[in-house]
Parts: sequence; C-alpha cells; structure tokens
Amino acid sequence: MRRVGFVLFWLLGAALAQGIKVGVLAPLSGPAAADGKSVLSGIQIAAEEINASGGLLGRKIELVVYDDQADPRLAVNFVRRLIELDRVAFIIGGSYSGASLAASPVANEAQVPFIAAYAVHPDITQGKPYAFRMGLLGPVQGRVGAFLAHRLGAKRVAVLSIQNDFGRSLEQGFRDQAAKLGLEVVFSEVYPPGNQNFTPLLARLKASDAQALYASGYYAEAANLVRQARSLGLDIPIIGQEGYDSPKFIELAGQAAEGVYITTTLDRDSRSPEVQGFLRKYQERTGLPADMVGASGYAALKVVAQVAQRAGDLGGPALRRGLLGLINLETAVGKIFFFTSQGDPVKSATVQVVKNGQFRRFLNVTDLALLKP
Amino acid sequence: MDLFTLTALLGDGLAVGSIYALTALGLTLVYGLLRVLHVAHAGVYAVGAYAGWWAFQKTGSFGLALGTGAVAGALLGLFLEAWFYRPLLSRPPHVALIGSIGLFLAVGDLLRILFGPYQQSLPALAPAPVVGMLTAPQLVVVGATAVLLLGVYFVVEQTRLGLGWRAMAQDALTAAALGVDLPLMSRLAFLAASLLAGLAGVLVGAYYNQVYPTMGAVLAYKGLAIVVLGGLGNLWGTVAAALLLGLLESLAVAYLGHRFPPEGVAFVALILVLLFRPQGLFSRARR
Amino acid sequence: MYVVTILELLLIYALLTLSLNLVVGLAGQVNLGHAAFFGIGAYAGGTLLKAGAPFPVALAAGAAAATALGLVLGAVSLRLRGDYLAIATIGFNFAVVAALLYTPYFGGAYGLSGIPRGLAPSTYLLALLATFGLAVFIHERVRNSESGYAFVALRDSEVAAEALGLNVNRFKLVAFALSTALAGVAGVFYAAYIGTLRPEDFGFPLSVTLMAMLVVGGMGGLWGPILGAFLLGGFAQAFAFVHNYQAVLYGLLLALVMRYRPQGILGRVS
Repeated sequence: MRRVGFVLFWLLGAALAQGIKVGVLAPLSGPAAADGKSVLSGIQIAAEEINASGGLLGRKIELVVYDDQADPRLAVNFVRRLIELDRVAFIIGGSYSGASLAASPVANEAQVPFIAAYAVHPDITQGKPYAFRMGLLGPVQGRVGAFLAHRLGAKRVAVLSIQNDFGRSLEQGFRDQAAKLGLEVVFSEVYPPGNQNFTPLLARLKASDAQALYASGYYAEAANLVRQARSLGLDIPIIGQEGYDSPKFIELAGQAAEGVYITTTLDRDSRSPEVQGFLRKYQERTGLPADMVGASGYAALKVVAQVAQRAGDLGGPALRRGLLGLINLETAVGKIFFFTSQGDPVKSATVQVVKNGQFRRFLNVTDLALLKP
Repeated sequence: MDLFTLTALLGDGLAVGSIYALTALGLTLVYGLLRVLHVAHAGVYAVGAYAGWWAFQKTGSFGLALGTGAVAGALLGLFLEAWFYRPLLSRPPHVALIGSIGLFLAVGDLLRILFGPYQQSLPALAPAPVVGMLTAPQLVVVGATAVLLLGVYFVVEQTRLGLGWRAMAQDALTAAALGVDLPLMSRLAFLAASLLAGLAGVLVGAYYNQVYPTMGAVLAYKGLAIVVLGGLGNLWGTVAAALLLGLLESLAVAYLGHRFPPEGVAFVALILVLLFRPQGLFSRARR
Repeated sequence: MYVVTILELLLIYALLTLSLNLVVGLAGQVNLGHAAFFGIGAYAGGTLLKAGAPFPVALAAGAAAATALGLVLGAVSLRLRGDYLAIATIGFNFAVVAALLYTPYFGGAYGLSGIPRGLAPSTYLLALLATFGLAVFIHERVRNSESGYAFVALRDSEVAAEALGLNVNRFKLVAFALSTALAGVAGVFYAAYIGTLRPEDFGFPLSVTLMAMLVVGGMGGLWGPILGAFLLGGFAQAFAFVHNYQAVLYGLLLALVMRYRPQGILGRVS
C-alpha cells in the first residue's frame, strides 16, 4: 500500500512538474529574421521571469518555437502542429501579417488563444473570438502621427508610404486625422518594401515645399530614407512609426537619425520598473538595446500569463474571458485600457525622438478619442 | 524641373547605373564565354561585401576593404568555376542554371548564419553634398566605376587575354583549334568577373551603409534584364544598358513614383526585346 | 488532421510538378515562370469562392484563366529557344506578380484573404485525391501516346522532329495548354487550402522551387516529379528541428544534386 502511495505521489509530482507548453511562431530565417530574433528574445525573457517567480499556476512555461519564415504556408502547418501535436495552451504570433493571417483562423477554430505580438492587419483578429493582438492598429498610429505633425507646427505635409498593409493602414489613419486638423498633403508617394534608393523621390519632395514628412517603413528603408534626405539638404522634421523602432535604425542612419520622431509603444523613459527591468535584461541578453518588437513579444506572454494566473485556468474560453475583462493594465508596450470585442487593444502610445543616438521620450498620448480603433 | 533637381537625379542615376554596370559586366562576360547564366554571381557580390565590411571593421581603411572584397570575390568565383561550372559544361544549360540558383540561395543563407540577419553598417562614405548637389558616395562610386571600366577596356581590347576572350566568345571550337587555351580563358574570365563583383559589393555596402545576407537578390534579377537588353555577351552593350537603366529609373521614379510596377514594366519590355530584337538593343543582329 | 494537412500540400505540389513536367520534361521547353499560372488559378478560383461560387465552378475558372495565359506564353515559346526562353519565362513570372500586386480588385499588396474552403474537409481531400489521380492519368496518357512520343522527339531534337513532319508548333502549344490548365486547378485547391493569397507567394522563387523539385526528382518519367514534390515539399516539415538552417540546406541540396546527379534521383541519364 505504501509502495502504491509512493508511486502515486511520484506521478503526481511528475505531473505537477510538467510544464505548460506555449506555442511561438516567429520568422527566424528569411527576410524577417531580424524581427523574429527580437520577438523571440522578448518572449524568452518573459518566460524566464515567470518561471523564476514560481511559474504559471505553479508550473514552468515551456516554449515551443517554430520558424515560419514569415511565410503563410509554413505558418498554417506549424500552427496545426502546435495545436494537435504539441498541444499548447495558447500561441504567441511573433510573425508578420501575412503569416499571422494564415495562422489565426486555424487557432481560432480550435479555440486556442492566438495573440499577435505586433502584426497590424485588421483581419487577424476581425471576426475571430480567440484571436487578440498586442500592437496598435495601423490607422490608430497614423492618427497619432498627424496629431504630432500638427503639434510640430506643420501645415503642409508630405507622405511617403511603404507599399504594404502596414504602410497603407498608417497612411489611412494619418490622412483622416490630417483632414480633421486642417493639414494639407502636398506630396504623396509610395515605395516597395526593400527599396534602398529614395533620392529621386526626395529630390522632388524637396521642391514641393512640404514642412514635415510622414514616412512609413521598416528600419532598413527608414535608415536609407533619412540618410538620403539629409544628404540632399532636406531639413524638415521626419515622423516615423514603430517600423523605425529599432537600434538598427539609429546605427544604419548614423548622424542623420538625430531629431527623427517616431510614434510607437515602447517608452524608453518610462518610470515603470517593469519596462526598465525589461530594457536592462534585453540589453544583457542580446547585447543590443531593446526594440518595440521584442517588447511586444515580452508583453504578450506576460499579459496572457497574468490573465491565466488570475483566472486560475488555462482553458481557451477562460483565457478569452480574462483578456476581454482586462482593465487598465500597464505593460512594457504601454497601458492597455481594455481590449475591444474584436480583440484589439485600446492603449496608450508614445512619441520618441532620437537624441544623441538614443530614443528618448518626446510626449505620451492617452487621448482615447485618438486611440480607439 | 529646376537645376537642383536635375543634378540630383543625374548624380543618382549615374551612381546606380555604375553599380549595375560593374555587376552586369561580369555576368555578360561569363555568359559570352560559357553560355551559362551565372546567377551565383550575386552571391559572389554579397560575399565580397561582407569581406569588405569585415576588413573595414578591423582596419578602418576603405581601400583595404575594397581590396579584401575583391580578393574574396575572386577566390569564390575561381572555386565555383573549377568545382561547379566547368564540369557541367557538357550538360544541358538548365542544370547549371538551377544549381547556380541553389548556390546563390545557400550562400545567402550561410552569410545569415555566420553574421546574423541584421544589416551591418559600413560607414566609409559620409552622405553629405560635395559638389553642387552631388554627394560623396555618388562621386566615389562613379569615379571607381570609371577607373575600373577603363581597366576592363584596356584588357579586353589591347591585350592577348582580351583577344582570347573575344575569340572564344565568337567561336569556341575555332578558337581552340587556333591554340586558345579555353579552360584558362574561362578561369581568367571568372577571376575578372568575380573581382568586379566583390568590389561592387563593397562599394554598394558603403553607398547605402548596409551589408546584409540577401543584398544580391535585386542584382540577380536586374542583372539578367540588363545583360539581355545589352546583348548577351556584348560587354559594352551591357555597360550602356546598365547606365541607361540607372538614369531611366532615376527619372521615372522621380516623376512617376512607384505607381507603375517597375519589375513588371521592365520585364514586359524585356520579353518584347527578346521577341523582336533578341540580340539586345546594342548589338548587330546575329543570324 | 495535421498529417492530412501536410499530405494535401504535398499533393498540390505534386500536381504542379507533374504539370511542369509536361512542358519541361516531356516537351523540353524551359519554364521558369510556372508559379505564375499557379497564382492566376489561385486568384481566379479564390475570387469566385469568396463570392460564394460552388467549388467546381471555381476550378473551371482557375483552369480557364491559367490556360488563356498559358497559351500566350506558349506562343512566345514558339519564337524563343533555350536561354532566351528561360529569361522570357522569368520575366513573365515577374510581370504577372506585378499585375496582381498593382490590381486593387485582387487586394493589391494586402492580397486576397478570407477565402472559404468551399468544401467539407473530407470532401476536399477526396476531390484533391481524385484530381491527383486524374492528373496522373492524363500525364501517363500523354507520355505514352503518340503525342508523348512527339513531345520527346521535340525535346531531344526540335530540328529532327520538324524534319519528320511533326507539327512542332501545335505540340508546343498543347503542352503549354495542358500544363497550365493543371497548374491553374492546383491553384484553386491551394486558395481553398490556405485561405489567404499574396502576389509575392507566386513569384520567381516558387518557380525555382518547382523546377528544383522536378529536376531533383528526375524529369521525364512519372515518379520523378512526384518524388521531387514530396521530398522538397516535405523538407520543411521533416526537418522542423533544423528550422534555422532550412534555406542553406535546401540551396546546397539543389547545387549538389545538379553537380553530381543532374538527371535527378529517378531520372535516366539522357
């Protein structure tokens, strides 16, 4: 009898020690590999933090990571694998919109919560009760950009958008708010992702007499854009977005990065101990300053873990209810006021400016009229 | 269009065209001699860029960076010629083409594994206006290309090596019968082409201040279009096509933006040229 | 279910390699732009499925659209040979992708999303298997028939084939038509499978992948293309644990196979 008891006790212990599997999809190779690396680092830091302080519901988090190369075909198969073979409790989508769009319906159908860390396409969460996102929607960010241009005193603005869903949704929000604020768009062009040569467009922009430039892109395009603008003698304020939010932007743009504004959600000057702790740990772990993508991955895991801890339950429906019931939660990427019924966060944004080679806070935005999707 | 805009666009067009010329030249040289589309040439270019970046990091000297890039490119090119292309000469052309594409993909990913997916900066050329609205990077690239093209002209038109190349390109069998050492010609052609590619890689890395694993991709595709427009195997036609393309792109983008798909238009034009003037824009008709 | 999903994707790849084989392996014409027809079929069928059309209608539309453009490329192939044709097909691929990218009706850069499966999961699998069987049947009929011999004659020596009285042009066009129709059908199945399409998914890199599958497996026969599809298509799944090294391994595999066994794994030395 004692032997049976002992075995049962051992089995129980083994079961309790069994980890909670959390799925992660991220582009670790291919064109988006840089962001994949960042988001994974953020998620790993969050997992380590949670495990170090007792784990989630007493159990350790085990990350199951698949490289989807930002490719929808791979994403759709890996997400099935995560759900059926690995039996994960929930999935953090650390990839771009294309892959996340393919993955979220699958997760939603299986009632496994899927949280897109930073992808911007509205359809990822639209009509899918189990799909959520941590990032600001494109149009919301665009509105903040127009608000900033107005604040900087510009009346005639130029718009240069990257030709994908990211750029389009930003431009849409910017134009809407610009119209409300009486700003005139005097120059408007698009460019394909991966474009390196902006000189022809910038030369014509300079002739258009714009007072500020709202330009979207990822850090590689942004660095070239900014460098070439300054080399042509274009001195007007340049407003970027979270695509610029990376130490690589500053490194690649060099001196030209000084004074560039970005609308984003990672406030380097935040007084929150959680944010400062994350910034420090990220730097120690990777040797690089943190970026918005890494912070979004970190925040995604922390938020779901907190919700699960409070609910005492890892089931899909419980997590979903918990997320929808969240109010005023401070995270590494801003204060989430609440999630909309679509699973999109209404949260604060920040404007950072590059000063002496670092992102510093310029101002924070908490106006709900601007921030509601 | 005011003078400022005009000089800005000319400078830009010539600089971009020069880069195209340096890489496409090697591609067309190899094709002219071996009738093989050396897609992996873009991989040689990327390797040269990384070698130059590494040298610049260690020494801070742009000159040394250029030299290192050229040498690294040349070594890789020679290796590929000996191990991959020459043994496959007797096979149908698609074999070398597919394998070449595979090599290009493998080299690109190897660079990512070794150096990380992030862009590396090569801050050797400060992006400031120098003469009028022309910038230092533009002047360096155009100047370097001019010097290199002069060198190529000299070798091709004035030396026995150049004579051997031209003979082999025109009719390999007859050239061999007349005593031209075909394998040697082939090796030297790869050497020259890969030297140029490696150099071009370092120049571009410094021009945009970005060195990254997939930097060869754009050139791989554009290079194909340029060598066809210039005439497959026609060295000076290719150079002309390259410079022309650079200038046209600059003007077109400035005034038409990217509303028209640049690759789409370019490749439709390409297909039309192939159908109606397959010798390219600058050659005399072959048959 | 997970295994079934993988199998379905591999079957779609196999449909593509078999269709490509008709043009490249049998008729000997280079086609480095095959992904374009896959894409045209996918977009045509996907648009109809989204509009609520029944699956067979979407299939027909996808096949028709792809064939129409396939005949255009076929016509081009009548005037170009070898490397020139190769470059023209690459250009065609880029042009099609650009057209899809810049056409707002097809979603442009956003792509086409929210495509319904159009069939119950088990029906979908059966339909795909049936189509695959049909493709094999057509492939073998063509290969082992007079047309097939004509194709091979064409591949081995166009001049000789012409001299023997074969209407070279007609066979080239037939090859392109059949090949692209099949690719278009595969496209519709794919659209239903993945639910979201982007123009860049059907670009030159995919054409290279398809060509690679064909060449690695071995051209000309039946099992070569199928093996190539299952081998290279299943690569990412089988090697999930070396996920970080997929691209370099894949590229090296291509290069090594071409260097040391260009006839592919199952092909015969020509």
